[in-house]
Amino acid sequence: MDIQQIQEELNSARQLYSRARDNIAAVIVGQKGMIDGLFMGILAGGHVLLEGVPGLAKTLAVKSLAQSIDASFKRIQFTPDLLPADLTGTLVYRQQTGEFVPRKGPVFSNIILADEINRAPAKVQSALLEAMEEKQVTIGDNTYPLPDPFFVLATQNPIEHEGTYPLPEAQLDRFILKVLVSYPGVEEELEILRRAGTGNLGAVSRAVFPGDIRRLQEVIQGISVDGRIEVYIVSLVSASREKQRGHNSYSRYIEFGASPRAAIYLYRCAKVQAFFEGRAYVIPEDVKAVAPAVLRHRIVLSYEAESDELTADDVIKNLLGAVSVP
Amino acid sequence: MRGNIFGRILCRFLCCTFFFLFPAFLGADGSYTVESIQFIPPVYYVGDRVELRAVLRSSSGVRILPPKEFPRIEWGEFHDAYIVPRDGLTALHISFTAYQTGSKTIPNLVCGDVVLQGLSASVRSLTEGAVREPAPAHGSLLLPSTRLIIALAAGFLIVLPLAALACFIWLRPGLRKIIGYYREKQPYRKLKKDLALLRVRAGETDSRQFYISLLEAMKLYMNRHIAANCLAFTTRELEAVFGKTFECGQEADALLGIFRYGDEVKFGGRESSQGKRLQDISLGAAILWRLENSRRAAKKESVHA
Repeated sequence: MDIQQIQEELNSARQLYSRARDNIAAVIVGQKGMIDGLFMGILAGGHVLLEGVPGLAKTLAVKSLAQSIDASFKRIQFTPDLLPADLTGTLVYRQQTGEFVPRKGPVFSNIILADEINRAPAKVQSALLEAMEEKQVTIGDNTYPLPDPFFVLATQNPIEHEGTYPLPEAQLDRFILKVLVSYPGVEEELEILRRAGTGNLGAVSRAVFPGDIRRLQEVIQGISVDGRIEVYIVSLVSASREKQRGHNSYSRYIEFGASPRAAIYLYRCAKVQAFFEGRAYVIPEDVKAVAPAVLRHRIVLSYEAESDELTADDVIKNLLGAVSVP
Repeated sequence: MRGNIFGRILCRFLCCTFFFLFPAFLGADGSYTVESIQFIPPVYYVGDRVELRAVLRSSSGVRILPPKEFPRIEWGEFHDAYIVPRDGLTALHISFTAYQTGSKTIPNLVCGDVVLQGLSASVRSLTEGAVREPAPAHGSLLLPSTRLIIALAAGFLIVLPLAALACFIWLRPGLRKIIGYYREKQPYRKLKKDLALLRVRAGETDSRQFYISLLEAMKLYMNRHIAANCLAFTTRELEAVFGKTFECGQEADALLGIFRYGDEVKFGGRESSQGKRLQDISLGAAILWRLENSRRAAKKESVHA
């Protein structure tokens, strides 16, 4: 299939996407980055971690997304006393038949909102992360596949770290993106205030179906990625691991660089970004645009970075400025 | 009287007896005569190895052999001895070294049937006849003008680096200016060279490779004169940089147009005609030439100011 054909398919697919996106934008004021991030995660076939302070419409955005897609949605509030079985389900004894029957947990939904994922202990986190990776859950002796599509959209609060269980790097690596949710601008906040004041919060209608998501994913998969772009992606990821060489200014700020999984996700997300831009091929801009969200939770900063009060985004900015684009 | 006669007769008898019988005694002891005695070297000093050559004439039946063992001498030592036959004569060569000065008696040497006796060696002394103090030690001998040459070479070695340093300090501002001038113009020279090469090959290379080379050449130039890390900039990032660099917005847009079109060709598989390629080379070259000129003019003004 040549690029012209892909472009034609992409144009019709974009109409579908625009419909879903506009649907959510009708409810959520601003937060373009968050909405794009959620869609990017879904279209790239990965799970998204949202990080932001309370009150930024994270939960509302995810709920609206689920409603817009016409998919089953469950919200799980992670608490310290949560058990893995509360998530995945358990075997229940049925007195009438005298046998154990499986009772599926809330994880058996198309879209899961794992709210404040860092408040649950490690065993619950790992139960969810196992389901995310394998897309199946074992209850008793039987293994049950999770519905398709299956997306986990987890949130965590960057403040109030007391009594939390920070996700280890290995588990953070499972999330395709880490989207930072920031405060809205003044005009956006004014609009939020007006809508909330009148009680006119808007309603989300079903715009796309799970089948459409799969179609969009197929179209995105067909987007062309030049060999030089692939090399650029790998160069970026491997440059984050260049600590031993120590000749780049950013390298001393990185304790551990990104894994090869980051390169895979960078590749997929760059395709989605090209789709958002209405292009049937990926250009270096697409890679650069998605790099912070894909890499920020995969790079472990060094003590020097902390002492210089640098964030992962600052280091990634330096990294992107050091690697030549094709 | 009778007694005197008797005495005379007895005396004559004894004399005749001695005269006729003595050679018989010599013969019994080994009949030989010493033809010559020679020391090699003729004049020798303490510590010299000397060879005594005694040429003997002997009667038949007399065996002349090198001494089997040498007697001990206090004033020196014997080394070895050997026989050299010579026209019916026998040359006996005996080596020795003397450690004392003066005339030294060589003890009797038993050489087969012959006993060499009555020989002496005269060992000379270097300080003989004068009491002299040891001469002072001489310095090493040098060829004429050696000292001058060494002095000149040392002076040259010291002066040369100092002269070089002085020259460097004196010439440094000029050198810096020349190097700076060369470096300043080097990116533009490289750009011109690359563009000329691309112009020649515009019809030969495929679209993708052509635009990879063209955009890379322009970025390399811009990396030196527009922004430090232009090579890591995407087209969108260049747009922001061009906005600050070009006074004329049209030029910035035209250059961005080349980059955007180049991205389409490089990554989107778009084909470009030879005419379009040549047009892009000319446009890019013209814009960057004007940029280079205005940059040089601005620099000159700042220097004058």
